Amino acid sequence: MAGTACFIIVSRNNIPIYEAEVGSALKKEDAAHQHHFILHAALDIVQDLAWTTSAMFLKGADKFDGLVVSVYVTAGHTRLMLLHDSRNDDGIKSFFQEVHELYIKVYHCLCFSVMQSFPSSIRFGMGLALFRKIWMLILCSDSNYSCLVILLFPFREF
Amino acid sequence: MGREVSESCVESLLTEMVSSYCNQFYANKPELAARRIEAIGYDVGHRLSERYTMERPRFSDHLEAIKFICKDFWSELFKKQIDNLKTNHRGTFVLQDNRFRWLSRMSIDPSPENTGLSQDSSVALAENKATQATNMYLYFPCGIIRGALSNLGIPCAVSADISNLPACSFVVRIKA
Repeated sequence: MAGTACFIIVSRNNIPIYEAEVGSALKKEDAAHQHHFILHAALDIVQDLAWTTSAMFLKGADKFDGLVVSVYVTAGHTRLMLLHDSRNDDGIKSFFQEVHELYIKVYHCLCFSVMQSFPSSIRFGMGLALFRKIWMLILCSDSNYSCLVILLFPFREF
Repeated sequence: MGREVSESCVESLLTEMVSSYCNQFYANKPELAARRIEAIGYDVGHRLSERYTMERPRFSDHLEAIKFICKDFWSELFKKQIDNLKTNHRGTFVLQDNRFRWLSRMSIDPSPENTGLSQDSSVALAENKATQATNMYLYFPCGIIRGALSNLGIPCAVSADISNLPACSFVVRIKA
């Protein structure tokens, strides 16, 4: 069972800001974007769930076919969503906290406005840091993984 | 994420920002200068609120967000909390700071220069100009508050009232 993870950051205006995918992603034509579809479909559920609690980390917000969506919501209602199949809750929580710190650092950059995606230079730096963290996350998880393909999608400009 | 800057640098920067927007960039258009300064404050508030809400749980309603502004946010910015918070429970909040740090070194007495027959009107004019000049310095903190609250999901309008310096009141009106 290969370890897979798909991670996106969605701003408060429902604009996706960042995406990354790790693991043996499906390469079949019809299911190529299944992970992104699952994450976007989970947005409504996350929205409802976020108002019921004041915690930031919502684990297991949604499930589909053995994959679990965990979400970390910031005070500014930015959602960090991770689609994963492992059960490593503590690792995922600390991953989210590190991403949150990185996000704040990028957010402070004056050239960045939340209405756009991250510009490419910043995206690359952040992407590398995140990619390393996702990699460590998969390594620490319990599932035995075989990482055939690591994909790091640069974000599509809107 | 914990580097520090000397306070005199921050105050000099603010003074220079107001001065260059009022006297250089929008020399005869104080409304435009005010709006620009407030927009800068909005951006700053937006980013600061993201940073200062990192460690704490999220807010469940407007009052909690305003209390966060009064306590944690204000103490991060000005090393003290807001002294008095009033509300009419219908979306208006008044935040009163009895000694606003950024105005604490500002001179407040306009000295009337004419002692002739038109003394009253010239005193009033001088006072008006002094109030106007001081008001310019308040657009930036108003913008900060507005930016912070917008990031927490509360669109609002913020204005400042300096009827008795060095105390300063910020009136927050939440847009319904």
